Amino acid sequence: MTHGHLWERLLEAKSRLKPVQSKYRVLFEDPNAPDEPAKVLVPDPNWMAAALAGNVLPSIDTYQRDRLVPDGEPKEHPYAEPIGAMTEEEAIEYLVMKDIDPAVWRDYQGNRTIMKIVPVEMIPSDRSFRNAWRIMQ
Amino acid sequence: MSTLSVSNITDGTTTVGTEYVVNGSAKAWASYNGTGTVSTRQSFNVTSMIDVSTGTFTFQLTSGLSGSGVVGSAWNSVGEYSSSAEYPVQTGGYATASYFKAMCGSDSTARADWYTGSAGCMGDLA
Repeated sequence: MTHGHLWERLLEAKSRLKPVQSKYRVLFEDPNAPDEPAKVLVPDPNWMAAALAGNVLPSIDTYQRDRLVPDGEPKEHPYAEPIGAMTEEEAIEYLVMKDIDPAVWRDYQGNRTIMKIVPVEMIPSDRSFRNAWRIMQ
Repeated sequence: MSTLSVSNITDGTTTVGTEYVVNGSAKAWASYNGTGTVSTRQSFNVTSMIDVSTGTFTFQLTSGLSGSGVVGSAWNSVGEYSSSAEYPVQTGGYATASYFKAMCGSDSTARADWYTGSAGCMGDLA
């Protein structure tokens, strides 16, 4: 196995790649917790740099299969072969599938819009009423 | 990148096994801005930061931890309160196999946003 552990590849990538601040945010609501405020996913700059460079991150399929792995069993994603470079838009789709519950992006059947990918400027910087944030319908 | 493969590290007097060094390292960490347009400033092994609500953030791990439930030790500290006052505050956090959570307090029992936060976790890698 020549590609090593994912954690080691991340160490090497951080030393080599300049962080990239994404111009996107993902706004979403949890359909299983309708009283909670909308959440905002902020892509990590080091992760985005690794996604754009390629040959660091495993395929998203490995994370999805790992969701089904019983507790205590070995996970696939740390040892999987790294994939090639992504565009920023592809990287955001990867993040949605990895970090947001499938109940939001795959399984929701209701009429409300519960997820939006938006430019960072669309997220309010005034957080006075943060706990009342909802996605505008 | 070359690899140094040794079982122990010594300073001439004290010897420690390299597994203690590796296992004792932070497996993920982040320095973040929890006010205005929130973001991470510096980080390692973090895929994304999720702004959950006032003073509450989760950091998703790129390379996850092993086990289930609360599997590792997490820390969180904050500074530069968004008002000019300075108080001792309560902070907290915990780590699961796929993320660690940072909760930021205020001088009361309420959560609060802070300009400068730092959080991380330790545990066994998956």
